[in-house]
Amino acid sequence: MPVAPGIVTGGSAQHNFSPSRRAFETHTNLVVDKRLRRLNPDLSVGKRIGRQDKFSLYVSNSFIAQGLRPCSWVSPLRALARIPLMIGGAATMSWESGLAVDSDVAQLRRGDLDALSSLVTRYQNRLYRYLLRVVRQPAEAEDLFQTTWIRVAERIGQYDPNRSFEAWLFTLARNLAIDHLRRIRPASLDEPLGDSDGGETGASRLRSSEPGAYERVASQERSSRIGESLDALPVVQREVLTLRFEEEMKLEEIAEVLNVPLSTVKTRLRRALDRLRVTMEVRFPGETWQ
Amino acid sequence: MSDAIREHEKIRELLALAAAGALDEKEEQLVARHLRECETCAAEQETWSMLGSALRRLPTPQPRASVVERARAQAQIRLAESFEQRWNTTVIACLVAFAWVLTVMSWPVFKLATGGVAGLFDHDFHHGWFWFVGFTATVWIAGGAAAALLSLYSRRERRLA
Repeated sequence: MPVAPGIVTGGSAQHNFSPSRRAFETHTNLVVDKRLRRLNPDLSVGKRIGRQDKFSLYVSNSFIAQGLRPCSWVSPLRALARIPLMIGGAATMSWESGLAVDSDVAQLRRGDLDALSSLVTRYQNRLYRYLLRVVRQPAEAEDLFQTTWIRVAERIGQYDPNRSFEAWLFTLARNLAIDHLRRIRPASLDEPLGDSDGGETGASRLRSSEPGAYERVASQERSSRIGESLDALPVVQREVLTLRFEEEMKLEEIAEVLNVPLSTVKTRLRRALDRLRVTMEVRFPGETWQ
Repeated sequence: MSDAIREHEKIRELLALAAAGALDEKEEQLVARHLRECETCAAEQETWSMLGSALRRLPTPQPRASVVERARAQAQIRLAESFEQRWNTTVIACLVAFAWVLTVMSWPVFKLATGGVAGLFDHDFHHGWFWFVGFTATVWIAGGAAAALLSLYSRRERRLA
């Protein structure tokens, strides 16, 4: 999706307004409001965009509101005179971050290698976490992580910019993960490993055979009781829980990733929570979950 | 079953979804109203909320840096290959179209050189040229299709290898 010139996609903005570019790398989830829409006509109201540096958005949009490019030279006195205007502009803005993602995706569609690198950096932890939740084996999750990014590079031409890049990325990852499970462990698509061998999960099995690898990758998760209980759920329930609670996706986005209706997402979510609670109560009776 | 009990059961089913933030506005209002009156459901809701919070606080496993770097490098190579291939395809298509236009235009140029301007208005020339255009287009399209199929086949072979 095209984004407002001077804020994200404009080449001059990126080169001459580097603080803003750096700030886009770390982002929060916020929503485009009417004020930001007025300043940036190419954005749609309500669109979720990532986090960006408060100061940079504040400055860039305030300058644009005055019909100036962010890279324009402004004398100190004139800049001081603009402070009230800037504050007025900034006060009504929602802070966003999808702008940066949109920018990188647009550049990736033009074959920009740096944009791909930036997206890998931005999504590395979330994508890996999702894949690990689905396949449960760190080594397999790492392979799928690499394959997913290769698939992104191959299919970016087919990506519809009107769709959420995040949903598209997770859809690719999910398809690869499900194909992998179907090929390697068909039974794991329906039931947790624990059902066949006294509650032992894939993660715990890996721990006993490859303690070093698992320790290195997910030591914190292993120590978590809820993480172990999550591992014991069927894949369709694990993935819906991780997409909702860890990835914090909207239900509509989850439906897009899973390619199911919204009602099915809700049903899976409720069943997954029910089963997780039962599993927790059976495995760790009397313990609180805080 | 009384209406109150029925509503109580209905709300209990919604509590898990409420913890997941998956209720619509109407359901949220319904749940909020019921929770003000029902201590059992309020306690249940507290349990679901704790479970939801625990899920949100799960530590994020991180991929090894070497894996990320390898993924980045491989994806960049594939992206570069993919765009190079697209560029090559475009260039070849343009060259083929250019060559075909040159071939087609060669006849009127030949007629112009041998028979003068009058030769271009000859009925036989137009008739013959029409068939020449059709014939060469068919041949070139068939050749292009064969090249495309060959390319797809060799690409699949490389992928399988």
